Amino acid sequence: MLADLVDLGPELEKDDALSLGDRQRRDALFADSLPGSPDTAQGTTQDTYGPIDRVSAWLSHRLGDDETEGDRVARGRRVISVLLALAGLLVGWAAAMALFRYDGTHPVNVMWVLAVFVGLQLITLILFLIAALPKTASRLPGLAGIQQALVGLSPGRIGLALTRLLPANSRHALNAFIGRSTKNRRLFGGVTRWIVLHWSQVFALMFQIGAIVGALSLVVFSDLAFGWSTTLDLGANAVHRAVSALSLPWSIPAPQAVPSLELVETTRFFRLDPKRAGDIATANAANLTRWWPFILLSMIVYGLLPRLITLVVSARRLRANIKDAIRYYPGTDELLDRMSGNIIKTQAVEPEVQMPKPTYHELGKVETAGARASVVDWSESGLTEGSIDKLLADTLGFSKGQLNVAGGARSLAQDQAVIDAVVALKDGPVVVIVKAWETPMLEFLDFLRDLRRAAGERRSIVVVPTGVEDGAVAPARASDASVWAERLETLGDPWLKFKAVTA
Amino acid sequence: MSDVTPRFAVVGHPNKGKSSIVSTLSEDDSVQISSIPGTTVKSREFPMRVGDELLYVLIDTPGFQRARRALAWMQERETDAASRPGIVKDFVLNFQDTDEFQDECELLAPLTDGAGILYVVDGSAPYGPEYEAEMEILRWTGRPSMALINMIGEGDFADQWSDALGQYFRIVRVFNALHEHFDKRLDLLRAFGQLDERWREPLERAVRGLNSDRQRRRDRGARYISELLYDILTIAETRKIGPLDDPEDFKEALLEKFKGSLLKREASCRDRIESLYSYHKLERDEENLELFDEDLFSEQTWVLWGLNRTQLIATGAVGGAAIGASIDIAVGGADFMLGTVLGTLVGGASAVYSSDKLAEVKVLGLPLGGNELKAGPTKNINFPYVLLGRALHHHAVIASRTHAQRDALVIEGDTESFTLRNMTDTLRKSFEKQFTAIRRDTEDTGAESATRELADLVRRAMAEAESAVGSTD
Repeated sequence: MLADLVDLGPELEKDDALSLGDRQRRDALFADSLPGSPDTAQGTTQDTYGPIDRVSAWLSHRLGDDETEGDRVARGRRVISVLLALAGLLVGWAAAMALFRYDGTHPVNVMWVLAVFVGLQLITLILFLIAALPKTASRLPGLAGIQQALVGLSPGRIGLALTRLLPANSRHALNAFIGRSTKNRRLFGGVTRWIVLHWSQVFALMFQIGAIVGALSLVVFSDLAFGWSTTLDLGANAVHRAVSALSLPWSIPAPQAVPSLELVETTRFFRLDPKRAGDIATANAANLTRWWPFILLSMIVYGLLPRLITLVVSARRLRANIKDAIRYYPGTDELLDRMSGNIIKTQAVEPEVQMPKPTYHELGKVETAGARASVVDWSESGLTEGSIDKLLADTLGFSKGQLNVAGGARSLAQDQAVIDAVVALKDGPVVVIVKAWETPMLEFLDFLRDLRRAAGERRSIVVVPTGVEDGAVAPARASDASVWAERLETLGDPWLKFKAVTA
Repeated sequence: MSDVTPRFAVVGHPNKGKSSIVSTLSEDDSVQISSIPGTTVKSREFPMRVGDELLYVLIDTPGFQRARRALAWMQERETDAASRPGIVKDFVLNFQDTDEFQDECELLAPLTDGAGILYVVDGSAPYGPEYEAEMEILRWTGRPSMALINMIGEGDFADQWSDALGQYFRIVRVFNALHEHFDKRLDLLRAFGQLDERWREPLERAVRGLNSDRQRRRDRGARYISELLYDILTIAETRKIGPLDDPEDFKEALLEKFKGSLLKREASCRDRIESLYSYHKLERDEENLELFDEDLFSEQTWVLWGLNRTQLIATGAVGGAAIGASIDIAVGGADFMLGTVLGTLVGGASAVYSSDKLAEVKVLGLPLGGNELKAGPTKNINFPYVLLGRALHHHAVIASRTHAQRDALVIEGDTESFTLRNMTDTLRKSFEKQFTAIRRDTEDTGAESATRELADLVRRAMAEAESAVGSTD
């Protein structure tokens, strides 16, 4: 799952090159191939085939079987966990060797053993619990600061230094991940915190195991003598009460591991009285060994078992934080929406068919002034006759020979009649006035082709797009004029001319 | 529940905004919108789905090109009014594989298959008789029909158009594809439902779905903005430097990197919000975020095994105590725990004095530690409000933009005032409290809950801004 978190960002970034539609199609298609019912982006991080599993499946599908950056980071983390475990084992074993050292003079002081392997463990356990308190509890005044310090002091931080021992690719990958985590603490802060705390529990658990193995090996392969000694004014009864309380968890299943009052009374020793120590050793040789079941069970119950629990807890918290980071990673919501069945889609499914590019031909230049023109007012431009005269004179230098109206609501037969009338006047240009704001339709181009066929080659036909305002000529928009020009250029008629009325 | 899926063909003259209307209603900016007539050559469907359920289909079509000729063909075959829909169908069947009436066949085929008509005209240009042939053809199909007067330019001939269109179409509405608010788009969908009783229910469900989707986007947008605010308050750039390096040599580059991080983060939030509203790679025209004049650099800290100086001293002291304690154990306490005490002092002191030397030691070619120069996070109290104002303004512009608009997104104006002007004192205090808490939480233990609370505040700020300046939806 850590691998997924590392790989998720780069994979989502690759989608920047794709359109929304392409992403949607791709991921919807993938989602259809997944087993189980669709889930929404509002799904929880519970361990069902929910949002996180869908993201994970998506990543597996995208990345295939090749090793990824995430795999290297996960591998690096595992290697460091193993190194910390070995270190913990070694240190625990060494501590046991030191604390259970018996040279035949003074017995092993049970007080010290309990202080280190039970008391100290319980203290560090409490510190872990404080560091592990949920985020809402960290609102208590001062608690957040203590948590920060505890995470900083955690032995798990040594894991960060151990990255130096990793192979280059894992080291680079893990350092890059740590770098990203530092930059994006909102998302990754919990993950890195729990990686460190989990490592600390690995170390602590293996320390305890090492200590137990060390202690057991000494118990089995050498003769140890246990006693208890303290400067405090504690009688045997008080100590017996204390050890009996500690023995409660196993008092029923293993009563032989509960120190008796007699054992407590007979195994106290004082270093200042070597004779007494010797007497104890001589008189109670068998007794002095009877502490070991209690000690071992104390180490297991108060040292090992809690660490097993905290290891599981830290692993689960780490997993939960990774899931949250994946869930709230920028882009995950959108990915889940695309895979979800509940998204609202309104976009086209198929891409748009591109318009074929036409071939353009240059239009002819308008002739010199003075000609008498046959005028066709296409689609009833709205110009008055006087405006038309003015347009001819001002824009083209022509005078009006005849005026016809075609297109618009007129029939095709009426259009043909206009063509016949124009052709009847054998000479002179034909001026076709059009509304600049309307688009040149194929119907108009058909008319021009029919007019050309009837009028013959070389007869000048001038198309004049114009604006109209209250019956008078108004300038056409440049964009409208260029639309007309482009359309007419596709006809390939060298005697077709164009003159727009522009500002 | 109706088992008829409403289908609407958007038809009309070329270049009158049919594709713009489709783009706006379907929130699809892949629709080609061009001033070149005939850009749409094939009909294209835009199904509206909630999950797998199809609620309606919009169909973009090419414009009429030879309406009079097509009508003439149909009129030659007319016997009576009842024969007209069939004649239109025959027309499509007769010419669908030829070049002569390619556009007419493309736009009429969906109608002969039962689609409703959404006829689009440009209300900013005057009405002309050249439209009557195509309106007549559409009437011949017998399909339920609505006319939309699309106000493309600055002119206003809507009344003239309304008088003409009312004679051919059941419903006539004015609609601006480029600028119409979201609520008006929903009204249009409801109006479609009036064309056929069977369409009412699926279209109502479509409207409800779009409404709740709109709310979801708003909530998500609030979350994205809250994540941006959180990140901006906590972003810092660090650089490890050697113990002999002069930090001044690195400050300028680090500052540029820090600024780059801020800009990148803001841009990322913009992209996410635009993606939320189905925009892809929008070109933005806005002023860059400016940093306030403040000293962003913090003092160097020791970096050894990832520990800072305080942690190093503490670790050294604990380590020394552990060593001292083991000595105490070994001598059976004969040294009266002096080992532990001395060990603590020695351990801590050595951590202070030897860390310089230790930092220079290399293990496997890498130094054990050194100095770390840090730029950020920004502590300027106004900065998050500037960012919030920019983000809310951007969100408002995106939420009100239509997909028919293809120009660059222009975000201008005094965006800081956009927020501060509209924000109540209560809300501003709530924001301040959150910003302070985030600044203090240097280990981000409360990141997720802080982001959620910020998102709630951003939602309130969105609502306050909208109610103050008028709805943008």
